[in-house]
Amino acid sequence: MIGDGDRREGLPDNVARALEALRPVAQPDPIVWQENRRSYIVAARALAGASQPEALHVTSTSLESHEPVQPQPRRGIPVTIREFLRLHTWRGVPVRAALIAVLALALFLGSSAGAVSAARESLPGSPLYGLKIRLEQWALGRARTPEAVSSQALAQSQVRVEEAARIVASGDSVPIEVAARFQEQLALAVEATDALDEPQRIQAQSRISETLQHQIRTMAEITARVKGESSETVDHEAVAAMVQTMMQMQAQLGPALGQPAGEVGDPLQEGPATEEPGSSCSGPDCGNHQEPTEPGQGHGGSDAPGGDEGQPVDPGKGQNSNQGPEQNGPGPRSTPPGPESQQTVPEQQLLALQPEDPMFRSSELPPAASLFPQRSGNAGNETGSGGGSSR
Amino acid sequence: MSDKLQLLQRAQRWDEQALTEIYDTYAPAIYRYIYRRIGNAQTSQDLTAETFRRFLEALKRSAGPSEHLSGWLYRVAHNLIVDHYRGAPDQTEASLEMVDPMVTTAEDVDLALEHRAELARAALRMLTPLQQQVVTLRYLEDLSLQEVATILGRTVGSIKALQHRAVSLLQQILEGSDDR
Repeated sequence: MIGDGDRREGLPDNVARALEALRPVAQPDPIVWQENRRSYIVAARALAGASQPEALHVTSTSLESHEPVQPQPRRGIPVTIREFLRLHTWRGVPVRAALIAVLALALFLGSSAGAVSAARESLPGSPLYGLKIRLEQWALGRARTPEAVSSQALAQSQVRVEEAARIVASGDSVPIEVAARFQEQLALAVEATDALDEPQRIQAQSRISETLQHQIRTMAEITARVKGESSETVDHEAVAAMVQTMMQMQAQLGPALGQPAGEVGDPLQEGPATEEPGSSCSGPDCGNHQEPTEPGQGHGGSDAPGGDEGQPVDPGKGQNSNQGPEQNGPGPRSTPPGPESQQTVPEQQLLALQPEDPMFRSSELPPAASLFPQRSGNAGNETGSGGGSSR
Repeated sequence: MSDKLQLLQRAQRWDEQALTEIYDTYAPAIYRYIYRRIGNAQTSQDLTAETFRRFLEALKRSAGPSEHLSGWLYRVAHNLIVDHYRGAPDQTEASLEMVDPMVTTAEDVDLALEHRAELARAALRMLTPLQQQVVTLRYLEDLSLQEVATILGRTVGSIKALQHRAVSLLQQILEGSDDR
């Protein structure tokens, strides 16, 4: 039988017979066949392992789904950093994730440090000024002792003065918030000293007084510059309020420290403002005229220009009205000064500014003395002690 | 994508299951192809094994078949057959002379068939390698012209021409042997 008639149709007979003789095929030896088959598979495994290590783990299922095959982590030194990061873990956390977290933390800390540094140099209105204030509050919250609180608050008040100086130097108006914050911080610095024993309290208050003198000198320079470059577009109300706060505080601390109240004006005697025409106190001894009078005199204990010029000073509302007739009363800082106190003798003497100067328009800020209601008792107990002061 | 091509692609990724499936599918056909040309089971098994060993090596070199796996295997097997006869002493003339048309017994018939087969193999070896392949694939492996053309990488027309010349030449060779 020829078989495929179609294909072999037309074949010569001798060719057809010859090809037919080739059709029978002897069955291969099954043992040899299986041996060859097994050898082929073994060779396939060997060659696959030599060519692609991952191929040993490849399954038909993974190939059909075309999913990448993840090799198992290998021991020893990894070939590449990428492989190391991909395959190894540190305490159960992938090294790559841990490294990313560390880098992110470093970046955050680095940027935070930079932000803190920039915030410390920021001025009101700057985006970082809020951070600056929060950092100050945080630092204040960390102060555990009254002395530390006083020191921290005093340092922060100094920062406000420096801010005001920088703002004025740039020709801008100092925000009223700066003056308000200055008042609060200075008040806190003084208030914290009440909790100290006598020696420490005097020492702390002396430090505050010294700082105030420095601040007053700084503000005198600022106000002189302000007057020289007076501009209708620039509002100096905050500067005036800060000066007022300083003067009031210094006036209150002076008697407590056994100093004549008039000494608070000494630093400004050297300032240009003291030479301002119209000032009734242009000499170096001008401050001495601020020596407080006897308690109960009611004119603030100072020979203010206004007083010299016959301007009436309400004894009960003057700068030193806390030295009022009731020595056992609420104390030197318990009585809020009246509106007239904003043009008290010291500031007019020391700053030598005209009362009608726009700088000294009525401040919206609370008087500095009103910030110390709790100090009245302590101060009252000290009435009559030291230099004849009511404190 | 055809199943054969998918199987080949899996084998190229060293899928053991695919490699085993290829062996089980194509090894018997390759063995038949080789045996019909050589006539020795042991040698045919060895050459079949060698064909698939070269297949694996080709995969390793990424030089294996890209599309037609069966054609690639047949070409390798053909080359092995050629090499087999090239290394052996030329027995063509002797084979042609071995045929004894005068046998009459059954044993003689088997012997005569074996002699006829050997005569046919000897006649085939007198063709060109390409003609040998065409004749073997077309008339022994029963492949179509298109399949042979695909395996040999030729057009169907060229396979027809090769087939025609091969059959004519084979006829002349066999007629010459019959005349002896």
